[in-house]
Amino acid sequence: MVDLAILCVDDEQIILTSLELQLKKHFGNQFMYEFAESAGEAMEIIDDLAENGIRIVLIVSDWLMPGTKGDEFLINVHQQHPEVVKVMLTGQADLDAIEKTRNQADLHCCLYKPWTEEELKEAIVTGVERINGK
Amino acid sequence: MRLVSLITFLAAGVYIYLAVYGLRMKPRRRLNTIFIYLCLACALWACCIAFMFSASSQTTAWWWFRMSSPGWCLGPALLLNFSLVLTEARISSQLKKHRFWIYLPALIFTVLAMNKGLTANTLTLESFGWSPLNTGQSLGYWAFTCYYIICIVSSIALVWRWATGSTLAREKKQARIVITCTIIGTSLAFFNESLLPVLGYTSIPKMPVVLWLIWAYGLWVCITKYSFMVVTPLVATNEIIRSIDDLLIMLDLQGRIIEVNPRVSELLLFSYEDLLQSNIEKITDDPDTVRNHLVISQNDPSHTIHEEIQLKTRTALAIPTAVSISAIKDEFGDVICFALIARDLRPTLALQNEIKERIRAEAELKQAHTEAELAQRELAESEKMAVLGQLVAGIAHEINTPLGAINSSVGSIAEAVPQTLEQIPGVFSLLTAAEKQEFMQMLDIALKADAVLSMREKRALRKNLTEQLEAADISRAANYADSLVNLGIYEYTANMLPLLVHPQNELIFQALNNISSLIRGVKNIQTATMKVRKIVFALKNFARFDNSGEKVPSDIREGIETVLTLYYHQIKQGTEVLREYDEVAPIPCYPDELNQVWTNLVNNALHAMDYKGTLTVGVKELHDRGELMVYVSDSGHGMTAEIREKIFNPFFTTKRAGEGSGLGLDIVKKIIEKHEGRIEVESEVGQGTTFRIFLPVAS
Repeated sequence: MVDLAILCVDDEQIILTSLELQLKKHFGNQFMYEFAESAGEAMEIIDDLAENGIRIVLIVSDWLMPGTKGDEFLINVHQQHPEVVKVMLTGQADLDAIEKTRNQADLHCCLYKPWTEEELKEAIVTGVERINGK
Repeated sequence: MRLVSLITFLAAGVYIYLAVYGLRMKPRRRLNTIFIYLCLACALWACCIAFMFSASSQTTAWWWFRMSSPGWCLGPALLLNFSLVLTEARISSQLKKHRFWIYLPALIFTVLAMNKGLTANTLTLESFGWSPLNTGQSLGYWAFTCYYIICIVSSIALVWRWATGSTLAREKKQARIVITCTIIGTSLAFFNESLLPVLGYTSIPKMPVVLWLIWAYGLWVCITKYSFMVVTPLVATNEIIRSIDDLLIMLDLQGRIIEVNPRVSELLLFSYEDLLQSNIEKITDDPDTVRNHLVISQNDPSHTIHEEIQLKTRTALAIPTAVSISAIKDEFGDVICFALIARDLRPTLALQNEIKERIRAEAELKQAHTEAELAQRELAESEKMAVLGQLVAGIAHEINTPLGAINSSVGSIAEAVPQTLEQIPGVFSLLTAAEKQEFMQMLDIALKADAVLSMREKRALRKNLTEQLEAADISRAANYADSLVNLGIYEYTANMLPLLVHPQNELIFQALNNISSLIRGVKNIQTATMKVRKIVFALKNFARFDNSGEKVPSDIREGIETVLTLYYHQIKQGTEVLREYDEVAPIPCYPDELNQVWTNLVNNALHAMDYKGTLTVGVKELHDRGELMVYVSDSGHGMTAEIREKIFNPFFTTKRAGEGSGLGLDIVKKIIEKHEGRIEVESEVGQGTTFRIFLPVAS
């Protein structure tokens, strides 16, 4: 049973499904994969996983979502879990929001939809390396 | 009182009556005045003679005779002047001025007669009364006789000429009566007064003044029966020529000016005399044209020529005129002169220019109007594009999301296909018939599964299944549960057990996972494609540029849905959309323009509630009014009455600078007006705002 998890947050199921297929293909059983359709749901999962002793290594979050937006969500997470690597995946480049996240949530990188498999892989690999390097 | 006196008095009465009649005739003209003087002269004559007849002594009779002389001396001169004025004899103005000289001999004779009697040397008392007697046949007598005859004959001749020149039967009749009566009256008077005494008939009373009554009777008949002296056409014609505004110029055959009306002098600033001695060259710079026309006119006198000719004034100012030239013929049909009637074209030209100017101004106004309309259309179009521009960023996201999904799914499928194809035969060779059947059944479920589950639901199902698997004592339950849920299998059944506990279970589930990845990837692409299609469709609808300018039947709900699709990414941030649609038939409208309306209203509504709240859109058919009511309602912060009054004003905006043009609702209103509809707004601070639009169902 792996105890490392990657959490994906996007209000679009198709994105989450795509991410799931890609992540499972590349990283197989290396990680547990969790998917949330909103920031609120993501926070529940984070708490849930923490309770079960599973460590979240990386969060991939959309920016434009109903309710709490990606930047806000990542900043919130950063306050509680600064060690988690944060990756933003967005279809709409709001530079202010990205910059804010970069500064306040130590954003690892930002991917732009439509992203390539390589970009995603690279972001995760470098993100995990970053944790391991610390 | 003697009988002759009585008769003569009566004659005096008749003359006075005629004088008073002439005085009361309207209109009074020169002719009337002369007529009155003539009557008064005769009346004086008659009065004095009447007194003379009955005088008590020769001295008194002689005195009365001399007193009568102004009457009979002036009478013939007045008669001649009367005829002159009546016939407006063609005498030069020079002569007209000196017409009063004809009174000079009359005055001389009066003075002589007052002094010595002139036609009588002495008075004799006859049986009827006193009678003047000429014995010496003096020079004065013959001179007066000549004067008398000349005046009468001239007078008759003038009237005769007037009658022959006139084309009016009335005038001819008048002339006949006047001539006849004058000849009879004056001749008898002459016989009675001058010839009879000379011939020796002294016993006959001399009453020429009474005989003149015959002339008076003639005039009386003419006045009462034939409107004599009231209006004479010749006078009227002259008056007309004098008063017309056009220039009348008469030219002789050589092109010399022989007569002009006063208007010519007035306009061209030449004196009348000056003009009469000039050629046509004096009043135009283009005499050749005029002369050419004179020649043409002379050759074809029945034809009147119309031509535009510039006349010139004494100050060399050019005056454009419309000239008509006609040849005037005498009674034998020969052309004797030409009449040029020229109309000053300046007022006409000024009017034409004014009309042209007005037409031009109107055209300009129309042009400006068209330009304004065009500008307004452009403004509306650019506003639409601005809104679209604002939307583009969000729409890009909307499209990029499914594109990302498609892109990644395609990648996943591309790798999973060869792997799966490779794995399946190996896996199948490991399985028993029953296990194969179970394997195939699982695939069947996976292929048929079409339930769209939220992540939360999936997580719950997975957790539940994990527990079931753990209860069945299966290791790595979470992994298997994940695979099974992804295949669409949510409940554990004993049938699965052989596969789950198979020595090669990992390989088997890897194959299953690959297959489910393929299926899910394909479905994901389908979903994503649908999303893109929806957005592109909405964009196409929104940006449709219908240039036909004609209304097309369109479903109002479709337009609203288009806009809601385009605003989806903004709506989803925290807005709940309530749709309250009646089943309505398409109505004739300009769909792209209405889309602009819905866009503005939805945009404003979202803005008013900061993208959090409830957006209610509705379409209701108001059957009794033949209208559709569309409403867009938000749960935002509302507006004060003050703002509400201004929202339809152009350039009014409550948004920050750069966020809104302030044209949105102005354009909305114009579009609705174009649809002959109306827009109402209801708003309360803190409660939200509702816009209601009423559109006619039939155009």
